[in-house]
Amino acid sequence: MASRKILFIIIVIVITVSVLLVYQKNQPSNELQVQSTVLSSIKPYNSEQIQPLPVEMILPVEKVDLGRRLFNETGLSKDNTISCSSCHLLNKAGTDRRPVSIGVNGAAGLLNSPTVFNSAFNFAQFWDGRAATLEEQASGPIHNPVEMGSNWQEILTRLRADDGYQTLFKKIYQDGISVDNIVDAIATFERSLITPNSRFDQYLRGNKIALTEDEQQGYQYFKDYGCISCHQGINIGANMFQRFGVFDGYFNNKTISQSDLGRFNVTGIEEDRYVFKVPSLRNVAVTAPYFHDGSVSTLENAVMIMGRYQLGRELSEEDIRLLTAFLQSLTGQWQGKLLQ
Amino acid sequence: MAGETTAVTHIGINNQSDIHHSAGLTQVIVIVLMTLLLLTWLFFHADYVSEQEHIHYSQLLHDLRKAEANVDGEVLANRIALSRNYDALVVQIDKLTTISHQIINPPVFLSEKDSVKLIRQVNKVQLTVKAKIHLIDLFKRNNAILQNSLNYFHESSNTILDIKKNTSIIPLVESYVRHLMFFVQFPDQDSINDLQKTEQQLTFFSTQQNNQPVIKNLLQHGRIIQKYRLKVADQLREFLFLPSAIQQEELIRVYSQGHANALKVAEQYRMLLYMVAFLLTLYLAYTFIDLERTRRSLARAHREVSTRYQAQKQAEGLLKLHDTAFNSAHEGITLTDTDGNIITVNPAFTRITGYQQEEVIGRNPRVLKSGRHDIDFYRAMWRSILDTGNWRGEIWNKNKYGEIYPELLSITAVHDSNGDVSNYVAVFSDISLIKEQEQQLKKMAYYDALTKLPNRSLLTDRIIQAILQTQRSDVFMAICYLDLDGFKPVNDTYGHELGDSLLIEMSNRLQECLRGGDTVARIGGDEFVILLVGMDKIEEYELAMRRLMKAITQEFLIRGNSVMLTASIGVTLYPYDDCDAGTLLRHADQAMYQAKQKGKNCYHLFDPEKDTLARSQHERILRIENALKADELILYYQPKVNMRTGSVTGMEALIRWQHPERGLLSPIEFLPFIEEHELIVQVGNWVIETALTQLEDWHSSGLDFQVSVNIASLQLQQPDFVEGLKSAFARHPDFDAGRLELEVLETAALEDIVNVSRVIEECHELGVSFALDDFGTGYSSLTYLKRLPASTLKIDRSFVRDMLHDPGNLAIVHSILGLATAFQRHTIAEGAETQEHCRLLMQLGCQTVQGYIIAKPMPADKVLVWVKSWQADPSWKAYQKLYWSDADYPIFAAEVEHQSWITVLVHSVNENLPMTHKRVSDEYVCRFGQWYYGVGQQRYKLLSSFAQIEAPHRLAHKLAEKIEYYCQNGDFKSARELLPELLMQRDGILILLKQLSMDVALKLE
Repeated sequence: MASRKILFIIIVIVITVSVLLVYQKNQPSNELQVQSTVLSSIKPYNSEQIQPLPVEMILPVEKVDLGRRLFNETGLSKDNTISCSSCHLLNKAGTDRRPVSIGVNGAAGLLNSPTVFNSAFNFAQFWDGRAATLEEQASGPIHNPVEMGSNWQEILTRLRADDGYQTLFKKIYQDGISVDNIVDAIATFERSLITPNSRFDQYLRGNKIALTEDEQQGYQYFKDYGCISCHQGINIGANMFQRFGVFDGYFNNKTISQSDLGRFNVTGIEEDRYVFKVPSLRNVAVTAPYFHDGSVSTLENAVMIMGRYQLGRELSEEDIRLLTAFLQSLTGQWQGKLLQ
Repeated sequence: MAGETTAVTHIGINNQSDIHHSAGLTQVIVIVLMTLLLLTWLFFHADYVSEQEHIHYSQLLHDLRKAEANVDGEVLANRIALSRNYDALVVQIDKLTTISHQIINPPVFLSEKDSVKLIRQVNKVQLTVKAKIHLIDLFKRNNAILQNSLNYFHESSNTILDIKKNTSIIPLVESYVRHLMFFVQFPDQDSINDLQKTEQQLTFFSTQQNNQPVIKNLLQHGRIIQKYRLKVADQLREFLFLPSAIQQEELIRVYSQGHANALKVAEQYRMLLYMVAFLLTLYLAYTFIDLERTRRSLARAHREVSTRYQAQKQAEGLLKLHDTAFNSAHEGITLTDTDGNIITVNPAFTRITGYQQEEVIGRNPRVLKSGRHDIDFYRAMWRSILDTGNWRGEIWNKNKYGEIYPELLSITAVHDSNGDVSNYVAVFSDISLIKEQEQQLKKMAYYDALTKLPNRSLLTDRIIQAILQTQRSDVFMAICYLDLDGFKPVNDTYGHELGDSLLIEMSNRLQECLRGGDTVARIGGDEFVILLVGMDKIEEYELAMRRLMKAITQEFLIRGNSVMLTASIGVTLYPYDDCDAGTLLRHADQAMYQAKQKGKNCYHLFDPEKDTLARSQHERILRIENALKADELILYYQPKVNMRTGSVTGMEALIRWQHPERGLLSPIEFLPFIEEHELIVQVGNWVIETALTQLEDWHSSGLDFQVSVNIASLQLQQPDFVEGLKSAFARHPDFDAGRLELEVLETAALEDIVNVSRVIEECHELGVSFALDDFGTGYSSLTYLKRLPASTLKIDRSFVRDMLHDPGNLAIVHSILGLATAFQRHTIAEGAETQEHCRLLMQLGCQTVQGYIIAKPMPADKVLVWVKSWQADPSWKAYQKLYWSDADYPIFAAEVEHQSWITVLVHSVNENLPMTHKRVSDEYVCRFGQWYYGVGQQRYKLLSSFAQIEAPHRLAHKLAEKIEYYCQNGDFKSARELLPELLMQRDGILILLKQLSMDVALKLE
């Protein structure tokens, strides 16, 4: 009888399905997050104040390529004029060499673009550290009306319309073009932008003649004067917040803008007023202008201000010269060449 | 899986009850699915507590503690400058943050309550973590500043102390530095107080001293140090007093509890699952039992159905069989209802009546009425049916084409279970053929099948008619009883088929001889009766008889052989013989018998007056019987002698009747009457008995010879014949059986050759020998002779008598002798009348002879005397020691031939008869001449006697020629004159031949 057969088949299917369901349930759905390769180079209880950068970052090539493409994609901006690289030019040491960046419609930004190079080693992104990861950071400029002035919806639409992006995304990501995947690709690319083998790193690795006498002396002053207490770690800074103006007075005579409030914008705690992320000093020689507002254009000046307001010292010219010389040696290599 | 078996069970059960409703099927599916869902749900819950998840979460909790510990460690390390950068701290904080985020999702297996509890706890932990992180953040900053200031203060204080070595500020600075250092070490209130005191002093002094920038710097840094040292202390204290450990422990506890609770719950579900499975198994078992029960009852039902089906099939088969019977029956069958209207008929009905089934269904069989029967017939028929339930008989019906035909019809009433008539069944067959055959038989009753002649019944009828007719008019009629002679041998020789055709031919011939009103009838195998009516003169009948005889004796050609039959006819004439039909036939029969006795091939008229046969056969037989009883029968004996030995070999016993009135009667005068009667057996036995007695008597007198006794064929055919002999021998123990010879007629023997041979052989075993009497007279084949183991052949007297004159007879005798030699039988010649006979017989090789020349039959008492006195004839001496070869036979033949030829010639001449015989031929061409100049010349030319024959032979021929010539010319006188010389020549030839024969004779040693 046919009805018998049908019944039997139904039974079998039901059983199979329930078995599978039960089995599936037992699979752990959570997967631990993949450890970042970045942070795996950090050693615990490290008495060394500064470490050299790793020589290379092991990252999936296709993602990096896609990320590079997206990094340069002006389509991420509202009027299709601004891409990530507009403010973080790789041939300008990852910045735009402007005090503040210019966004869509020529809108001026509020803050100086930090370098994208070695940003993987920042413990947080943005001057006020509001983005914990590079992925989080990508959203910022995109939605900022004075930067890219766009939104994810728009970008998704634009990217999805592009067959090239469709193919690329589909190749790498199962779910194709999505916000998570876009930022993942961009972040992966950004992580690849490291500048190892600065002369200082070489010195740290043991090559004692990598630094000149002046530079070595500068390094000593850097340590002795206490610059190193905030500008330490693998990225020579960028692993803590600190008040700009430990010794009062930096903001005394100035008009205070929103961006000057720094971390206070994020936490609202009084103590966090004028507190900013300590920037990385790597490639500092080529990432002028300096400070959050890009108000200081020379390294010597920056050193002088830091000494006065952070260390409470009036540094002599000689000190500044030596310190500056030292800071020059912090410029690393990108694609085999010294960063320009 | 439990689920699966249940499903199957359910299918099994439900399929039994669910025959054809799809609704039932849906029910099944629903139940099954529900059960599966239940089980799946139970299992799901029983297995709810995922080990993996538990481990994972536990791991998370552990990792949380580790991360926290690491963070604490890094913080402290940084505090004591073991760690001099914050990278590791950042990493650990990251880890801690991550994990603290991860633990927010409690494992699924936790109950709602426990989940909430856990989450609450997690939240607490998370808050603590956040607080910690914040504190750490502040610490980083503050610690950095503190360290910086401490570094600079150290340097700065050293510088001052070096520069202002001998100034008064130094002690203050020293004190300040000491206190500050102390404060840094022990940042409690007291040290703060002390420090602040010192600070004030120094500050005051500094202002006094123009506020030297170095001191100012020192104080600035000192103040920073104070501030930040306290800050750091506070932060650390706060940091350390964060209840993270407790919280985490609590978290673990809450989680463990939740986990344990979940396990318990899962356990409960497992129990439940087990119970459900248990119940299902029970149910399954129950179902199986039920299934088994159902199956058995099903099997039973099936068996029942099977049986019933078988029975039905059988019934069907039987029905089919009946149907077949109905349809294939040769007889027509009609089935009607109680009104007699046809319900159904079978194909035979159609075949017989011509009506198709459709044409008669619903109609009454009276459509078949022929009109031959009256209404009473049908009434009687139906009355019989109503009374007895059936009727059977012949009826004439009319078929579809109007033809009337006879039926043998049987109508039966069929009753139902109540006993009422439900149907009538008529079975009939077309008996047209039978009726025809009836006619045929009727016809046959009156006619002979083979010859189509009227048979006895019709004949009798006709005779009666003829008698009436003859009575009315002045005419007479003849009843002729005709018996074919010697038909039987012909039948035996040529077979019955040809015998039959011979009879048919004969009957045709007989019919041809008759006139219109005459009848020829066949009343027996070879017996015919001819009825001649309406004759006025005797001559008419005589003519008719002659015609008949002629017709009968004409040749029949059978297979190229000509066969001649004769008939013995007995005639009686009515009204001279005034009797009824039956008696007339009897008289004719008697007359026929007389004719047979007369020698056959003749007719004999019944003489009612004379009527030697008037006496009934029965009376005659009685008479003979009396004669036997009264010893009126006696035996005469005729001696048989061996010519060579010159001795008497035996006697033939011949019966005689010493009739008181008629005198001595020869056998032929009384034996024929009893030959077919059993009296002949008694007579035969008496003969044997008498002969044996006589022989015994002679034996005691010293005579030792054999006796031959004639045996009638009827006696020989007696089944106890041999037994009788045995008992006879028993009565005469001294008698040597070998002395008895039984003679049977050749013709008698041939009648039943098989039996006779057997009897002969049986007698041989006794020692008794047989002789075939009258040998040569019967139409026998040599096969028969071969088959009859008779030891002696008695050459019939008819051949012997004329053998001296008739070359033919001589040839017969010679050939019989030859046959006898060939078959190794003895021979005895009967009817020797002269010594010449004896001589010739001897010369031909026949030793034994019986005949008048020897002695006539004599009574027993004369035998002794005769035997003593008898002597062999002297003429025999010459031949006793001689014998002749077969090749010499022609000499004797020549002798006889010459005798005959010349005798005929002489006779003709003397009687003046015309030369009717063949012309005498040349001496070379005549038979003798052929021999003489042929074989004879070859064989005997050396013999003088042979050579001498030539001359007289030639002369004889010459004379014969002359005589013929004269006779032809009517000159009998001249012919007669030559006769004496012819005779002389003849005698000469004969003497010479005799001499020759003596010359060629071989000597017996």
